[in-house]
Amino acid sequence: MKRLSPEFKPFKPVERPKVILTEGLDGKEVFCALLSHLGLIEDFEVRDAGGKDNLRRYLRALVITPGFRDVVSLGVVRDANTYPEGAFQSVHDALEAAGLAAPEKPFDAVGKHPRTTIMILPNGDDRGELEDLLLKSVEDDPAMDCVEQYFECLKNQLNDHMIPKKLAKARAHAFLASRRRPSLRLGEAAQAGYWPWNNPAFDSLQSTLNNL
Amino acid sequence: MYTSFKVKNFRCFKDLELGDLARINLIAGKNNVGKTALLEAFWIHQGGNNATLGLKIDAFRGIHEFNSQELLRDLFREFDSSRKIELSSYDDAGNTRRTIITECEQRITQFPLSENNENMTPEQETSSQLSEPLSSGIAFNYIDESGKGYEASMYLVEGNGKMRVQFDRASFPKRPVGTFLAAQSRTDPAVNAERFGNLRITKEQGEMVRILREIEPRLQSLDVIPRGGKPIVHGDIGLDRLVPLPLLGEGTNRLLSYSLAIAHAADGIVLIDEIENGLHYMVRADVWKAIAALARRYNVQVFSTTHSEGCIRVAHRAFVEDGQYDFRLHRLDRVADTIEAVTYDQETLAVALEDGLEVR
Repeated sequence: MKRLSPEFKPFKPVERPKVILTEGLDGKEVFCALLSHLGLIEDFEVRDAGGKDNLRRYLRALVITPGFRDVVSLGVVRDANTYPEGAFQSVHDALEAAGLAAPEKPFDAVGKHPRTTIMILPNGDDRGELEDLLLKSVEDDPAMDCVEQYFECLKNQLNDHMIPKKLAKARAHAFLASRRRPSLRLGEAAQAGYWPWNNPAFDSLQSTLNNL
Repeated sequence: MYTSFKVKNFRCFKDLELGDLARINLIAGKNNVGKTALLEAFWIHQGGNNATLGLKIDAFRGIHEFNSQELLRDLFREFDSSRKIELSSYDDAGNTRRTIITECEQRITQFPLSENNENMTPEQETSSQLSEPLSSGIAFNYIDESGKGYEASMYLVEGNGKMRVQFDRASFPKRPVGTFLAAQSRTDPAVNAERFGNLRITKEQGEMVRILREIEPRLQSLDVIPRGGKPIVHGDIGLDRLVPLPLLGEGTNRLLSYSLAIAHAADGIVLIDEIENGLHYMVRADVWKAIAALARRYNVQVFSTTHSEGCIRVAHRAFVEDGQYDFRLHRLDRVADTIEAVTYDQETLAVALEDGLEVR
């Protein structure tokens, strides 16, 4: 995402006791929606820390931001992509570089002021990303049969190099295209209530957020 | 050049450490966290054992009256003079220098302090009448990089029906200049004229013209002309006569004062309280670049306070564009009963500005 000019981005101190960092705007909106659903949003500040390459520098700046001294919990969300261990390790190292406690495994909480947790999506162990988690929550939705058929059809009709690289993202978009408002982004769809937060797919994540 | 600075028991500071100092340093923070006090601490330390600076910094704050119980007691944290003040600097050559300020038993009483601080002499005479009994004095002990100490004390003495401040200073350490530009007052035009005159002697006046052109493009030249017995810098802005600089805008005069102070303080430090005051040009990158170039040329370290978001943003951009990022932003935070400092380098300031993280 193209960044706004530094001339125009307003300053914002840390104002709430719990902070979650996501690696994009969609992730931020999804977590805001989930926290609202859980009734926790008033305690949380969800910030987009930019892409994964930005996390280390973002954390160095965040820890000296006014208000951060009062933060009691910090959660960092990262997609596993193709290498869950590597994704975890890079967040771990970024936390340490910022002088923060770093957990030894995903979804553990360590340290004090703040307590830190690394949330590797979709579940800490598997490859994938936020979209995989969201898709798991709608796998029983009737529209998903159509989505699967659509991608099966694409697979038969297109050369391999024309198939979407990140299938989970493509499938999530295809699912959202089946909704009443078909053009929403992932985060917008979360705000619109298109992801069923009560589905067991979110149980583990909800438990982590409740304990953060 | 200083790389770090420690302040103990001075003004509001219990035990402050300011690190990662650069050529140009901006100091931010909320109200009453000691931004000005930090500049004062630097200035006193730079002055070696010059105890008069203690009086001057109070005068800059508008305090011109003292009594026997409180002469410079306000320098001490919580007015508790039983705890000594320690100001310690560390430079890039590995040198350490310290200033220790303690109370000493002397006689002090109420007296007015002249605002004309530039002319303060080691024996500042006053005309006030004695109104307080015996009290304490104050001692400044400066320890240079070799460990040699230079002590000075200050107290009041009575003679011929008058009270005067007596300064005892056996020897003077050789120290580079420290110049303090207070927030509320303009530099005396005569002081600017003298500093400009010094640049004329060494044929460096053209640099000042170039810098002032950043905000007054009509300016062609500067000259010093006596008016009413006092020299004043005049500028040629294309009219059929020269114009006294004080008649031009506040921005022009402040930038002139900043620039002349830097040139005057070669190898030393310049302390500017609220650099953006009356100077919206400080949100222009080219003005920052000019100040930075001047500071490098004269090997001067600049410490300045600011409240301005725009000032911080543009200073950062100017140093990035300049390619020589010898700039740091320091913020003072009140944490429980202490003041702590955090420092932003190029990376942390960049990400804070890009992502909207508050820095002040």
